Amino acid sequence: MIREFNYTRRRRITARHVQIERVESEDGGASSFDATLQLDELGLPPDALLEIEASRERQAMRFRWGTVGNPQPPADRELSDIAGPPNFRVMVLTPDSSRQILALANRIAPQWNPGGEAAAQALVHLDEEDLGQEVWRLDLGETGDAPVLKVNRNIDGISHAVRNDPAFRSLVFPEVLRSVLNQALLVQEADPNDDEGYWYGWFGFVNQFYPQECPAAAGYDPDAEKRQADLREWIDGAVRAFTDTRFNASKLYAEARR
Amino acid sequence: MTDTQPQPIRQLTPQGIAAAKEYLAALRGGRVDTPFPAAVLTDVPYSEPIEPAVSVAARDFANRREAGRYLKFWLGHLPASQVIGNAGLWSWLGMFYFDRLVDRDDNGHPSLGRNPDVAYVIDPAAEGRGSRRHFAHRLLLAYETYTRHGENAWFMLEQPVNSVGQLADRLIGAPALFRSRGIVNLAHLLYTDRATGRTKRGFGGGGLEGQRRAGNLMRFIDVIDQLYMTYDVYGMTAEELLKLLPAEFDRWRPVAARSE
Repeated sequence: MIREFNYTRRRRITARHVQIERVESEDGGASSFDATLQLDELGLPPDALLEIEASRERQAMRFRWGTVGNPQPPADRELSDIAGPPNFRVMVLTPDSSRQILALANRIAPQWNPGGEAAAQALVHLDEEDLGQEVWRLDLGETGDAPVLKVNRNIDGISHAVRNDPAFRSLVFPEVLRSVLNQALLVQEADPNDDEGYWYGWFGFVNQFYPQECPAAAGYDPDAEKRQADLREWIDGAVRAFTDTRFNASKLYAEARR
Repeated sequence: MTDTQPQPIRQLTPQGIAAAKEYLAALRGGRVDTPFPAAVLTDVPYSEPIEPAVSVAARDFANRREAGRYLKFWLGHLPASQVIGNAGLWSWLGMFYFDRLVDRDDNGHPSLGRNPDVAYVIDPAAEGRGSRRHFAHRLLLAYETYTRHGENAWFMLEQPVNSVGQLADRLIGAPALFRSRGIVNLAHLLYTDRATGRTKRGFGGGGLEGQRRAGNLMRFIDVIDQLYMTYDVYGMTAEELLKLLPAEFDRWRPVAARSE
């Protein structure tokens, strides 16, 4: 199990403090982004430096955002060097040249919420790509990248269907959740309590509709068979709760077919 | 080999990527006489044109620098959104230059050796798709190294396009390391020697995987990981990072920095 400890006095910037919206270009060029920061309650020095980094896989771009007391978004926020939907990292740095981090938000994904109005933050990107004959595919990427739900750009209105079509949503989203939990628990053996961990946002999301404690929260059972069985059972329960509370999936699908 | 007439760049479709991978699988399976699937480079449905039209010549590249410079110039005519992350484009380039890049056995047949398919063709549908796999694409690595790091990554640029080596392998293994100009520059300052044109002896701890020894490359990656908790390591210059490294790195520091 990989767990990161924050022994520093670094403060944590959460989804409550920052909102990022990716803005698509109307002329087909590179997208840009807007960020809304509300850091007052963190008690940071007003002259501390604000910087935002957008990254995806091997590309990264830095944006200097003024200071905590005087945020100055740069005029050019075009994500020209980034292919696909990026993650954002918001940093507050000491107002000197040491570049020490005073506060940090990691892996912020632009707003898009598959689970309905109540989920606190976006956890998966949506992207259109030529997938041949496949309709959709979940790209779990590399550690550090948010999962991307890829849909086939050759299908007219596919992104609209992802957002609005009950049949599509009820068939696809539960499987997205299952794949993510499989990856987090069965492949990466993530710690659900690790609040700096890569999958923490997903565990928080699941907790909203499935409060039963994940077996991995108490540590991973050394017996591989038992570990797998317990985790699979928990994942099945989480997906069932998701379909019941967020989608009423089978009913939605039946209605859509009618 | 001589240069050929320039040919318009295209991008492989999913069918083209599948056909290219079939060819690579045949070579890997020992069917070395399998004809090269030339249609993937020119014909629908295997590939499609890119707008605006840009042409490249089939030519040899002495090293990563030469390939990176050439590709940067010609791909610079395309919108960045069509270049970065375009698996079809890089797959087309990988197949277009395949003949020039691939190693050959004693009989002159193409030999993939330990090079994975992704050295030439990027398949977005392949399981575990991610930047490490993308970086293994030989031309993409040359392009990224040249455009992002320039001469700060001189050693990686000196290497042949078709090789990776321990320094490059470690630096491209973690996307956050490779995309940091300061970290790649510092790794070059610590572990390469301009005078000899080589890496310093013992920097990697032996073998491709390497072992952790005081101040070596594996430890460098560990220490960067620790500093990451406190400092904006990915936004710092090599000089700024150098000042944060503990004493175990002293023997690797550039001479000028040691006397400070």
